[in-house]
Amino acid sequence: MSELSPPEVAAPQRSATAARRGSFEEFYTTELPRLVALARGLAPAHLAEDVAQEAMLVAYRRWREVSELERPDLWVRRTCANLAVSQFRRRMAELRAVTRLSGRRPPPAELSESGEQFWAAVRSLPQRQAQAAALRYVYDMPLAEIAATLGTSEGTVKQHLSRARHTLASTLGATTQEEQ
Amino acid sequence: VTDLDTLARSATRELLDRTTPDVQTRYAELQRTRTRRTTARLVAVAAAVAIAAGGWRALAGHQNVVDPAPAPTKVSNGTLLARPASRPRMWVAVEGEPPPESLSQAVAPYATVQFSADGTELVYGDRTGKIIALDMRSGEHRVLGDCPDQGCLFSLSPDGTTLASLGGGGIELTELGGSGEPRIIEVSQKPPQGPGPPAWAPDGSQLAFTTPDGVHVVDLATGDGRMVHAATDPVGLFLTVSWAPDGSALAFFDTQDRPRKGYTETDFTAMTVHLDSGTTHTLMYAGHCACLGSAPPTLTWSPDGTGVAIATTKGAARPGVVLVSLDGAEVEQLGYGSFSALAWQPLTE
Repeated sequence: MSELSPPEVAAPQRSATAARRGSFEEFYTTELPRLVALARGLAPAHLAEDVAQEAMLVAYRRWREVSELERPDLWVRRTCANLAVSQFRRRMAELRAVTRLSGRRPPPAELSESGEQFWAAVRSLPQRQAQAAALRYVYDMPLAEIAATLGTSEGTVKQHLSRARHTLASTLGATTQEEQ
Repeated sequence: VTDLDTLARSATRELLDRTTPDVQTRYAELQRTRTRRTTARLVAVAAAVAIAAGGWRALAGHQNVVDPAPAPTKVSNGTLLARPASRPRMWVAVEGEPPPESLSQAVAPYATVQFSADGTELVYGDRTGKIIALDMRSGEHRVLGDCPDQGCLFSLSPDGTTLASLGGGGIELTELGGSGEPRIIEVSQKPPQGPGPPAWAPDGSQLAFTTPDGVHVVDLATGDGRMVHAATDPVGLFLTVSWAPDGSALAFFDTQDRPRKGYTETDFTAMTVHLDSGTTHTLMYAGHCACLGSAPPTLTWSPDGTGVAIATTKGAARPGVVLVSLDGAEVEQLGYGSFSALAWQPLTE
């Protein structure tokens, strides 16, 4: 097996058609928690909610066209993944977060040392590999969906995931199934 | 040795378990942000229309921290003042009428010198720590208040009511004639101390400033800040930012390291960034320096909005003060020498 294996974590079952028909609020409520997790997998924890919120704001502003897409959920995930890995955009989110004069939120719950190490290793991957890996893990996405989300081919995604897997194993001192 | 898939499963489960945003609160926050940004866009459009129609005053009273300056129907370029890099109290005219001789005796070293929004007064910090407004026609002066800091480094709002300066907590806004207690705008990275304060947007709604990382804009009504340009290489120098007269764009310097033997100089490139689209344009290469004994370049947008005046530093193709068209294609030499600050008078009809 050369690409990352999806973790056995249940992804939320939702209907893209329902999202298209439904209100933005419904879409937001369904999509936000895991979107924040995606952002947290790709960006520092204190920025995750702001990054996810920024992606949702873009979707909200363009909801008329976004809701007409076949998969609005994939669109907002791509936006979030791009925001999370863009140093420039992240800096904007960071500045926005620290210059906000009111409405401060409690800090995000900390991960265990091993959990933090794992996601730090994901974040240190090249951007596309990190995005592919985070989508794979957080959403349990098949290759075709990751490819559709990132706007690339399945072959490219497979290559990204394979390389990510090798780097992660090496960084974390872990074994892979093909080694065993 | 743990299997990678086991690690991944465990880390993902933990990530999902511990990522529990308050969806309802966040949704309400999203709606407020959307409303705020939409309002800001509408205000910007309305301001542009009002300026075009000469009806700027009609906008007074909206939620800005300060009122917009009265905008005339036509603005042209008046006197361009410059401070020689080696003479921190002297101001000379690069273009137009020379300033009163008394100015150089009165102004504090490196203190702020700026024109009022209508161009009729020159505002500066004097050697006694007072803020003075000098009438350019009559030569009479009046005291506006006290400098907010020892160096008299402030920026007076376009409506003449509020000072922006750099304080211990970040950007401080002090109302002239008010209680003296500044309102603090916290910023993640304080702008480096230097010969200048943050720059007010022409409508008084925002402040622009630089940090080593780049150029930032803070909305004063909401406190929201954003980085509008990330520096190619961070540099710990105060650098000037100048607003386009219509508030749509900023002129600034991008910085890039220039390694030398044993030390690093900085290359400065004058650029503009359009605030809505984020589009940047390069105006010109403005030189390079280690800027220990010499001044970094400085700039100011021309009051008529057609170009940017740049005081270059060593290594620039055109040393001195030049006026560059907004597409960077035309460069006009205005003066020679090394200058550390510029102030350009708007002439209004």
